[in-house]
Amino acid sequence: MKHLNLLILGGIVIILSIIFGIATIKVTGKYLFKRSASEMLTRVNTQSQLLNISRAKELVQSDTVVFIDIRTPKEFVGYHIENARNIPFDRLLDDNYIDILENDQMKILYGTNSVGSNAAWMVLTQYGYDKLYVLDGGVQDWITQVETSDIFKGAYKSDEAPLYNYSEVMDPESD
Amino acid sequence: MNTRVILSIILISFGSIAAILPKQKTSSVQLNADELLREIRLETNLVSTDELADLLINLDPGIMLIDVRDSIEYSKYHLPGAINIPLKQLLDEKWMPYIDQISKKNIFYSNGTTLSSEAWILTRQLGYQNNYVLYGGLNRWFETIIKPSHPGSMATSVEIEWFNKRKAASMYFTGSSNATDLSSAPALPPVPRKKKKRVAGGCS
Repeated sequence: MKHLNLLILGGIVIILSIIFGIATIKVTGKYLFKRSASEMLTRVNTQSQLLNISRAKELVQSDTVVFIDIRTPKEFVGYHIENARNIPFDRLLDDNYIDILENDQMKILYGTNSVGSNAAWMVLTQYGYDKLYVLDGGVQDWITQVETSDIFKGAYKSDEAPLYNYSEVMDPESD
Repeated sequence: MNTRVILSIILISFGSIAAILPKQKTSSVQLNADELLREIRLETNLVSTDELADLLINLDPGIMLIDVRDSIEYSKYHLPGAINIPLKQLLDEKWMPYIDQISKKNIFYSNGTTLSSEAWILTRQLGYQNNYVLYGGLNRWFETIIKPSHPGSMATSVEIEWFNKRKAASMYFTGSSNATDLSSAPALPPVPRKKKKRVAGGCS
């Protein structure tokens, strides 16, 4: 009888310990954020990661700058900026690319437009990498601004530039 | 008897240790950089302008539009019912009840998708849920819903149907901008079939 009591007691202690362990476990292991959300917000507020096309164009021949194409390998083979390296978006944190990202030189991320590359910038910066920039407008605008002849060049617009006068469109009669 | 005493002591000690432990936020489960990357890749956080039009026309009470641009841009124009949380103030204590909650579906928007995505990524880093991003922002909202362009004479029936739907949504939103009460405006069916509307949009 006493033996059984001890067994039950032991069982309860073990179960409680397991529950306790699970409850207090924190996110551990690889890929922990190294910058807090408020540190990130300070960086986001300057929007200084966004690099316009004309500035990026000046840097394309520079030895101290690396362009990182975050599109798929297929898209990369189809077209990419001269001397760019390909790190597909979903493999940004793979070990094979640490060398490129940890390198102290200026790194310019680009994708089809700047939405994906800006998200890549966010995640990599949260993860602790530095000297990262985003090509505003991405390959789409790069091709129209740099690769095509002058006649076909459209006006360059940042993603956040309003394309309409919103209030005017909604209420043409006011002012 | 002895067993009960031991058991009580164990339970009490576990309880007091648990009470001493730092309080963790209820709804937020922290995630790491790799998990965040995957979530972004899946794009489940994106709401299209067409989806938003449906939600607004159906007067869906479960959504909250959050304009993350600055207050000047917000005061010039904002989507119906939107509140303004400038990105700079996103993490201010007073906005926490809005961005860290489980009852409403928040949709962040800006002119494009850059600022709204940044806002979303920050909330995700903190583990907050129920936040979404209007893909393409106000620019795409105006391009597709307010001023939809006709897909052309070579368009497929599906494209025409989309156009008609958007044209109807456009009438709903631009018409009601003069009315004082948005909720009194009649909700149009999601897919109107009247040919009249197709003609109306032909040369806008």
